[in-house]
Amino acid sequence: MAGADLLPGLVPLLVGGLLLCSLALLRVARGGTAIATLAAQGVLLAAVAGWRGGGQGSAELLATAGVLLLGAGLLWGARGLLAGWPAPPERGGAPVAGPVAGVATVAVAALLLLPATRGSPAAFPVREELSVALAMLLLGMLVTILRRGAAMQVAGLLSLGHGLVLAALAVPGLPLPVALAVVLPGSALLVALRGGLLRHLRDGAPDPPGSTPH
Amino acid sequence: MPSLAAVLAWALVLLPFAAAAALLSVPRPREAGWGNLAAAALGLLLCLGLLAAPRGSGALGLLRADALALWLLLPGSLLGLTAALFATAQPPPVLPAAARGQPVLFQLLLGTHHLALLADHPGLCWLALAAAVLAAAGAVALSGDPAALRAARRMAVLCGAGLALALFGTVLLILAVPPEAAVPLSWAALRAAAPGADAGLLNLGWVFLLLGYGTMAGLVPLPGWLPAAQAAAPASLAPLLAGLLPVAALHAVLRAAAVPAAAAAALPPGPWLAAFGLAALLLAAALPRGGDARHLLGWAGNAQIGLAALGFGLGAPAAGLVQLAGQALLRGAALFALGRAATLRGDSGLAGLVAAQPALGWGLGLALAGLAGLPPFAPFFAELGLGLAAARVSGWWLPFLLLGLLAVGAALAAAMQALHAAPPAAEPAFRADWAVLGPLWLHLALAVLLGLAAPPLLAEAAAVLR
Repeated sequence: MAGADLLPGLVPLLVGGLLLCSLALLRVARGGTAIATLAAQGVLLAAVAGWRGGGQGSAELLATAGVLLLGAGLLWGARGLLAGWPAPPERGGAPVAGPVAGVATVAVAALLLLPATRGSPAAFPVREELSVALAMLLLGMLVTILRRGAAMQVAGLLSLGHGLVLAALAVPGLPLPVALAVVLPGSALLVALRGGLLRHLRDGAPDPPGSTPH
Repeated sequence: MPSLAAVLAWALVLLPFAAAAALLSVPRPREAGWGNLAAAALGLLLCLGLLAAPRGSGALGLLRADALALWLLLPGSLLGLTAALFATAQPPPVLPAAARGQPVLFQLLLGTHHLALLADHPGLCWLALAAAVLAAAGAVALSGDPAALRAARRMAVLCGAGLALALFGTVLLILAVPPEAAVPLSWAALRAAAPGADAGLLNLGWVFLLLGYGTMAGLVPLPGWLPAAQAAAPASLAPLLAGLLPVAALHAVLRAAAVPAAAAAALPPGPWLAAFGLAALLLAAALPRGGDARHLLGWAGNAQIGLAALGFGLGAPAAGLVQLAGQALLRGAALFALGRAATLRGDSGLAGLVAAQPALGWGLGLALAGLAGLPPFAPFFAELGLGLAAARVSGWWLPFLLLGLLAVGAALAAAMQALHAAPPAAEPAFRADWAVLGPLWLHLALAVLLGLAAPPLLAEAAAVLR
């Protein structure tokens, strides 16, 4: 726990960064930027898991950090696939609707979880992280609902997956399988992207004749 | 030395995954189809062996083969065998990759279903259901046409969101109990530790689990993915998709519900489950269906799952279990008939199927009648038990239950009328072979038998839920 004593504010800082990445996904303008944001979120999450793992001497958390870094590397490598792919704006509504809904979502997550975790000895030390995990989960759903296009829906799901891993860090035995369950389908989706599967799914319509697949 | 039950349970779980890996290397669809059938038959034998083996409390390390899991495994394994037999009579997909992938996805759907039912570790149960969703989305997208890809995308997004909520609920449930009380972690350990757990976290965890796994089972608030996916899936895989995934997801809901139910300070989960079940029934009854007969059957299936949830929620577990098993058999039967009719008749739909092919048409008609809640099929007796339970708990449930049953029954009756219409004049004659009619009529016979004679396992399975 020496590391944690040295820098007590590091984990909250990293967790705050995770939340900002989720909020940013509501507004990014291009698919490539969304994937880069997700990769950054993956690195921050790996740092949280690694810091915890180092502090507690937990090999499982360190392995989880490794898996998350691998996932972030894959995402970073996939940026080029989606570089020219514009991320369509929110469905209807004003441009501020997404961020306002995002902030409201974070508030709802905090209001739901902070009182509920007060009585539990196991949950109390990680109550802020659980609130952020729930907020990331709900924000991921919001991205899949508010943003159009397959790329942004995949981004929303992956960000939601990062929220799940953050929640799972609180329970011994869960983080590694959950991280694998998030990273492996993420990689499968990247393979699908490279194979052109999502080209058919883009905006729910086939490509116009002569268009270039990304 | 592992017990016989443990060996059989692990063999039952691992066999489909091994078969899927082996089928990947079989290039010809016909041979792959027979391999698929052989693996499914062996799976049913293992399931029967597990039923016969001494099992005590059912705990087998990470797995638990108790009466509840076995009650749901049996129709699932049988559906695996009959659907594999049905698949041998269906033409393989046109795309070579799809033809090779179909038996692999078939076995993956079976394997993940078996693992989800037998898993005693909440995380393993979640992983099995996550893998089941991936396999099911692959199955729906197999044909590669835009409508199927859209349905697969919708399914992946909605079930992905459901899985996320369910895992978050699982984490909250685990954090609610004292850390040392639930080691090693299992559904049974969580239930045993629940009396000393934090009630607020238990309640919150249960709501997330109900929303998450409920979405995958076809309950409210997001039930629409299942009819669309069922309609878009290849005819050989649609019976598995309809009969396995919702049942495994509802089973996870039931395992989760047992935890807050064991804590006196937490909210009782029964009324929540009953309300979600009734809402699913009413939504399935009220929504405009459009689309083809498989869409209609998908919504009727959602209503059946809603009825089962209502039964569990109202404290009538035997009725819920009979409903679950009966609907799986009848939906399978109806999808065999519909799939074969669609393959042979193209767009003719149900019109005049009885005149064109009596054995197939009457079989489909009886399956629809069973799903509509008519005797002598199992859902009739389950719904009778449900009505009695509803009257016992509170009279207010009854009018809504009757309204939902009547509306779903009316929609299915309209479909049955179409079966007896005049067949299209230019339709060529066709025959449905034994590989289709055998599974269809076997399912119908078992659905009748299940309604008329309650096997001893039913009482044991219901006792697990009390």
